[in-house]
Amino acid sequence: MIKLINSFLDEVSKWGIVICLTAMLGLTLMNIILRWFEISFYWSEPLVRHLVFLATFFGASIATGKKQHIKVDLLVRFLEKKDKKRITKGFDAFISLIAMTATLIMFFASLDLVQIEFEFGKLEFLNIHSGYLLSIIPFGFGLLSLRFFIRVLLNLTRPREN
Amino acid sequence: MEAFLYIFILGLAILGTPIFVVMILFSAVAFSFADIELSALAIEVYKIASAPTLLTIPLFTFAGYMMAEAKSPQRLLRLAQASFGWLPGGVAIVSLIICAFFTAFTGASGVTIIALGGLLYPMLLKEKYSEKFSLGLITTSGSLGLLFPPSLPIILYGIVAKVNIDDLFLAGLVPGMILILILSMYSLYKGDRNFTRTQKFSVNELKSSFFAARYEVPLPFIVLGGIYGGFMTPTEASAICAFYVFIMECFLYKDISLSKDLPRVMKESMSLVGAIILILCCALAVTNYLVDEEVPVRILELMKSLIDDKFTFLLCLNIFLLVVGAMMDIFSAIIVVVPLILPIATEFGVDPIHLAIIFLTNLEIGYITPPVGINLFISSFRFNKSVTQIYKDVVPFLLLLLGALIIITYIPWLSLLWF
Repeated sequence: MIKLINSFLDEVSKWGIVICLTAMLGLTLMNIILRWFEISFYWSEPLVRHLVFLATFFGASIATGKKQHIKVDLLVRFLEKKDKKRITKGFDAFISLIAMTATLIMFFASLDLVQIEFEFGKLEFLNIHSGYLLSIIPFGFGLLSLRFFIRVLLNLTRPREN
Repeated sequence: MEAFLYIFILGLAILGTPIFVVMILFSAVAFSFADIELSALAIEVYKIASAPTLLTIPLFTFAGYMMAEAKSPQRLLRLAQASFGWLPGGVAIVSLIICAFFTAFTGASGVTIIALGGLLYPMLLKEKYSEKFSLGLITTSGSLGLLFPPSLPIILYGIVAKVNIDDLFLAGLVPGMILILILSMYSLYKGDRNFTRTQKFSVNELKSSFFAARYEVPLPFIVLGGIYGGFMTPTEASAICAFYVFIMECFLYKDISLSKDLPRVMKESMSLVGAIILILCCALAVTNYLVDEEVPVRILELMKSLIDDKFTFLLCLNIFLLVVGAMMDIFSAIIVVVPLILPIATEFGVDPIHLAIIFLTNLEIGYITPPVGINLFISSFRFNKSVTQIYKDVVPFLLLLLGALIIITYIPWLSLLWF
């Protein structure tokens, strides 16, 4: 069940990346071509920047699943070399728990900000309310938090399956 | 209490907590003790969404990953071998150039050693280079090319230090070539002494290998020509480059299948990019806090009382950055250290563009500096050798690059001749 949710989140992140990346590439190319005809859409540049921002979180979600976040990995390498599987797993569960806490802090902090923004914000490009744009942050950190939570569970449950 | 928490966070970092998590925890603690609302953290994170050149990072990386996934390394290698392979030490020089090319496009993320190492290592051994030399060369080449456009660390430096990316691309050209030149001369020297069998030069092979790589060859010219010819901004160049590589690998060479490979390559490239940009946005909170607390000013005052001329400063900077480069990965190092160093260096009269080149060269060397330079581990993993053997193998290369570093640091003209 946990594995299923994990691979579901992986798929969602993957297709999120495919859509964002294709859109940012397409929009930027469109802008270059339209410039020859002296047409420009003011909304495409900020839209692309927000797509990069959104794709960042999808990418980070993949990196969380694959344990590819940039870190000082001396100790992890040492543990893997010593082939102490249970310690490595327990250790990864601990780190993931810390990471889950940190991303949860960001989730709630940004949720506050989004609420304030919906009250006092304004309409941005394409008449999108700035509150929606800021919602990328709690969405992203929420997603990461969930993925770290699953990583904690996976680390704790797998040995029993074996 | 505050100090205790910082030490705890530092401990977590050493234990291998992802760097972005360390950044969040650090700023959360700092903001709480300074009575700043935590939602301000989210504002800091959101600042990244207004960085104008941000798009270049995912697009250039995507292009690089597509090429690494396809047969581009093989095609380029064949072309380079046909062009230079007949020289004594030619195969080693070919390795250096191809690695530099790929590192520039994939951002020194270890992809070069993984993708090219397997091809180059047997080639070098076949040419009777010693195992020691071959391993050292490949390990070193894994980060060579970091100074060439459109390398990810240069772009990141430009964003963090608010320096023009196209200026940085230009500034890196000559120093980057010096690094290749010095290593090439060493390879020539090694090649001759071992009586390397040199292959014969063949016009036909050159022609056919050129034909095979006919779509890849124009790529650097499109990117660089576009930017410096004034036809496009670096952001547009990244889009053109990604699109060109996409058409080339998916439709012209048909190396990458649209349905099977492409989504995976997108996912893999964005996984690296996501990890980097996430650190970047979380670090903005930390560095802004440190700047608000006037930490750079305090370091500056301390340094001014100890150092009084530019040259001593540069020497200290080199030593400091070498340590940083060996301890941290290049992306976090740029994001964390640059905002602290920049005002200090300016005060000592170091040009910001020259500083960028010094910074990146140091970090490039940091990749192969024992005990924890990341290339050493990637090589050890890729070639199944002990890390201690790789340590020994890179020593001559490390010394040569340090020599080059001194030249690059103390002759600013090399970086600034374009301006």
